Amino acid sequence: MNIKYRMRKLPEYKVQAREVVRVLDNQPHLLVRMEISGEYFPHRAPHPFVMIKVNEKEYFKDLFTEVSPDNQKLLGYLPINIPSKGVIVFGYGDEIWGAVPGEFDKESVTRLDKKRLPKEIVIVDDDFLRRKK
Amino acid sequence: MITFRIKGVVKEKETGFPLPGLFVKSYDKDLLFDDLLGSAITDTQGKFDIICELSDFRDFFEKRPDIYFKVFNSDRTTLIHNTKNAVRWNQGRISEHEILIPWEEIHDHRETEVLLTGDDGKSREEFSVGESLTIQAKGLRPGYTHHFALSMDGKALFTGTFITNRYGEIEPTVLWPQMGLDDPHSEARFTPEEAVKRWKGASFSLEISMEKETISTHKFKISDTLSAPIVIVSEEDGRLLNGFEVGTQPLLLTLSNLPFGGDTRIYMVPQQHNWQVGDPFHPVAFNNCEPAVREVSLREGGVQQTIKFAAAEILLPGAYDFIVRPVRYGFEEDELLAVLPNDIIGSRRVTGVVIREAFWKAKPVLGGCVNKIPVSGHSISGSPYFRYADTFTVGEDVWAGLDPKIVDPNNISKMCALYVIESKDATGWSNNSLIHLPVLGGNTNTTKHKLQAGCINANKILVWPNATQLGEYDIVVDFGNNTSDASLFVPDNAYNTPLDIIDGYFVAGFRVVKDPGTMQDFAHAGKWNYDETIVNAMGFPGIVTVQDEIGSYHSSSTPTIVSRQLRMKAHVFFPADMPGVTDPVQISSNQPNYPLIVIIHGNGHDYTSYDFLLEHFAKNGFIAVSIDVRYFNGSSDVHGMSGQGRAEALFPHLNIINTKFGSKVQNNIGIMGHSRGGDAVVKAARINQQQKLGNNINAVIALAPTDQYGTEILGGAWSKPFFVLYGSRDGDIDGGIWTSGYTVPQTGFAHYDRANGSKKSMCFVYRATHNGFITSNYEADYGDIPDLLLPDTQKAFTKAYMNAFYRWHLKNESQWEGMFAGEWTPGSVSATGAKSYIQYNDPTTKIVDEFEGAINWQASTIGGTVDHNGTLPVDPSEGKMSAAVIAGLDPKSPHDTQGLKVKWNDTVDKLIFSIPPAHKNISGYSVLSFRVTQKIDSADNPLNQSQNFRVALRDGSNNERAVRVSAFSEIPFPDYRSNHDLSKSAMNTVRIPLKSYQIVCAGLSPVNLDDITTLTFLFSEKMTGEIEIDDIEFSN
Repeated sequence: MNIKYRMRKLPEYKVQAREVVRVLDNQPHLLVRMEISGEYFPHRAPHPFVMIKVNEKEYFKDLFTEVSPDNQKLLGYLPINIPSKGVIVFGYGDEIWGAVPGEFDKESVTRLDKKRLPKEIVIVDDDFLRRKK
Repeated sequence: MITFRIKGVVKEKETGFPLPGLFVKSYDKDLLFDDLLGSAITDTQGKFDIICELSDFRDFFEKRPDIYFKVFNSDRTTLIHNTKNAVRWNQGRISEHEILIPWEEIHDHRETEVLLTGDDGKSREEFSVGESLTIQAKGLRPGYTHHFALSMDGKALFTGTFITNRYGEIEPTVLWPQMGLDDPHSEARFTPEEAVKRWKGASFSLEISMEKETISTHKFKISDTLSAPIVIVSEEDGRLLNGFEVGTQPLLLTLSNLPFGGDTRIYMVPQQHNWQVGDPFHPVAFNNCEPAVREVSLREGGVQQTIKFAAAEILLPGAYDFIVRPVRYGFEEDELLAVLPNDIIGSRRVTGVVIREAFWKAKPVLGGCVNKIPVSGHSISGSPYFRYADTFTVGEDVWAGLDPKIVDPNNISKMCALYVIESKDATGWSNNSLIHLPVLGGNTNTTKHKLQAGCINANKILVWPNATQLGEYDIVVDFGNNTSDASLFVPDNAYNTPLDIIDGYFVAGFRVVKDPGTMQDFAHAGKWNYDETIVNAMGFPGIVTVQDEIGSYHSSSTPTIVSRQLRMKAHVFFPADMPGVTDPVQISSNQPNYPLIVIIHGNGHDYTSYDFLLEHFAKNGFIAVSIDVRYFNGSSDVHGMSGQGRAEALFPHLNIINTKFGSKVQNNIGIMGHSRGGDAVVKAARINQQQKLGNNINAVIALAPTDQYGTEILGGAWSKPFFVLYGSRDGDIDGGIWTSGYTVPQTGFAHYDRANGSKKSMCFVYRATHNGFITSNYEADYGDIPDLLLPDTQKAFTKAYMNAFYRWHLKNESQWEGMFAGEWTPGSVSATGAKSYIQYNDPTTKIVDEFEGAINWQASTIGGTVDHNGTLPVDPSEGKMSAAVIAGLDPKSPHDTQGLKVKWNDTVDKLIFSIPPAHKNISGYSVLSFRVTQKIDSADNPLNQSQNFRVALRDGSNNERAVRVSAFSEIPFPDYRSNHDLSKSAMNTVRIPLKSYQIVCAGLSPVNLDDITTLTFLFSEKMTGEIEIDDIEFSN
């Protein structure tokens, strides 16, 4: 008999990006949420991160990243002025675990209708980050 | 230092209920001054434990204390009871005492507290229309029936009775659900606005009494305005409508006084008894598979409005709640599938809506009047706060929860009495009288209750606190003289169809048993580890040689055999009388000898990982051993042993155990193998018989076994009772075929199918893995991980089922057989909420059709014909069930057997098996049994729903009864894995008691089991379906 071999299922990293409103410091903030899926993401002592690698030296960094309750996603929260192109990388502490195959295009981010957002919304972008510093 | 231990328990004298929280002082009686020996507070079981020293009481030549007690209230100063007149003289180093205090003495020191609360759980004297009035109390007499009477402006509204738990409490229980939206007197229903007007200015009074003594009286009112938000299922005019029959009308929601307007999302979720912030939820699906979630825009200001939530044709039967959420555009938090602080729940303590199945269609026997629904259950602290159960461990509380799904609408608002009776057989039910258990006070002390308007009661009612009487029982809901007026209600002490409800009848409604997952016959387990050095010292070789196969192989080929060396190492646990025992000579003297259990681990496993299981076995009266079956490569022990080597390793270990334990170990052996060890135990049973080794192997368990070493069969001359435990998310033995010659998936299903000659059972646990039953889920597939059972949950299966199986077969305790026939699940397993499905076979059968031999669906094994009278859309297919490699019925069947595939597309479709006259008498059997599964991937099986049909027996006088499968078992939707190639069409066994065809069932004649002519599958319950079926037989 010929045995019908099958491939072991390896991690296939995928990303979904959309703008979301998240309440931080009791104020609604507008951010881009990057959902990385494809394997089991443990809770570890070092904090997780999601970044966009723009070029060999430059990274567009998250504000913070969380592990989903079911350990199936890394949820990276980034400023909304993300770079137009780049490679999404993720990991814990100073260790890059992996990268989403292919180049990320900022046009793939699902945007919210700004007119429908609350007036007190805080836009998280470069200006916000500069002010925060 | 010489210490004395004074153990005791304090109980109420009349009932034997333990008394927790009391302060106990122990004294030594002397001629002049008594010595205080120590004090303690009784625990939840009323127990206390005091340690003292000889110096605490020694006086002249006194060497032993003369003990008496003083028992104080929890304030530690109020004396309740004194045993000075009953001194126990000259007590030993360990003494045990039982202090029985008459209720009269306790009564004077009890502070009774009664709280009436609304939906927020806070005690109040004013409530808003739509809230559920809930009572809770403490300081009452434990285990006694208490009466309450609710009146309005001096006129009785309704009354009821409750039984207190072992602590003298009435746990939070709904008295009047959705208060004010109905009139308990007239059965009228109101819109929220009408309700406010109806009850305006009324004054309510609640009186609680025991026997003739009034314990407390509370007054309250309904507020003149709506102060709480209301979300109810309603008629178009906004009047409360908590239940209706499926397909008869759309689902409408009336919302009033909501604190928000604008964008709103409404989730329809499975009903649970209570909701708290943070409870997770998942919206149900309509029958078009769309999630039951609606986005609506509500008017501001809390004005009453009615919206159409779903059309009639997309609703499915069930009990549902509604979660209403204000949605802010873009806010991530509002997407969370867990209750948020701003969410409005339709009603926290009562069901939002019950969509009933068609009333007559839901009857277990078609056309019969028996209303059989689950009633007994556990009150649990977390979500979903109430869980139906058919098994209670000795000492648990038994609750009743009236599932409104198939309650006759005519029962609405009617008074009823809840009886707990001993389960009766068909002959017993020829007399329909009810005898409430004497231990619960007999028929005069039944709990009385009113099924509230709308009949949506998530009422949970304590019916038996501290159930200690082993046995099988039913709960009967007796509507007596069928009245809404509590003052006129008279139970008739009889089960009368069609009005009354029962949870058992055909089988026991619930049982009180010991739990094999937690029980202990011995308080302690001794532990002895041995290795090759110790074995050498005993005069045995420390290293033995076994023959082993290289690689896997099919029976059609010859394996390559190698010799492997094995260092003799094992962990041994045994019953002991004290902690810390490490020498087998210290084995408990409670029994002259003990059965033996040996565990053979799998590849990559560690023989020491089974200690938790060995200890459990030892405390249940077994000598239990886990042996190391790694082989010795000259420098270290390495993994890689195949099946035969693991099997052969068993026997030299038996020599060591027999020598060490001598007459204390019985030649009465159970073996358990995990993974490759699962193959090995089947092989060991064969080797033991073929080589005449003389070991009485009397029970074999395979845990997630491989099936890769020569297609072993546990049958024929080495047939043994067999149990297989296997998880649907096994990431190691996942259902692949990797060995040349095998044509079906190499799993425990194939082992089970091939085993013959003895009773066999298999438990297939949804979302369990290969290693989670013992250690962790480390081997699971990436995609399967989110839904896996926790290892502790899987270990609950391991401990309960394995202990029960060995107690059954090695100790001849037949009471456990029901677990393996799928009749009941022990509490430690059912409490996990995990789903599991049982296959079971008793070889003493009259087979109707097992579908083996020549392929011909129209001819049955029993020698009869099979026909569908042209009703089925296509003829059934008979053949090999697995089509993974060769032609067969289903590429996702894991079974190694032939079976039948049947498809239907109309509720009048049927499949008829004729019974030849020579086999017409089946009265010597007790069940009709068959294995069945939904065919995975079939578009004819509704997504995520269980399948259902009826099985009819007809006799020579044309008496026929058609029994609903779902009344006794489930044909579940298959568990889908992330790698769908590995999902399985896994059969489980349905066992319909033959008494269902004979027992009194108003409107139907009994079927004569001496004269059966046909057995018919009636596909009347679902419009379409596709199933696979095997082993149709009459059995025991």
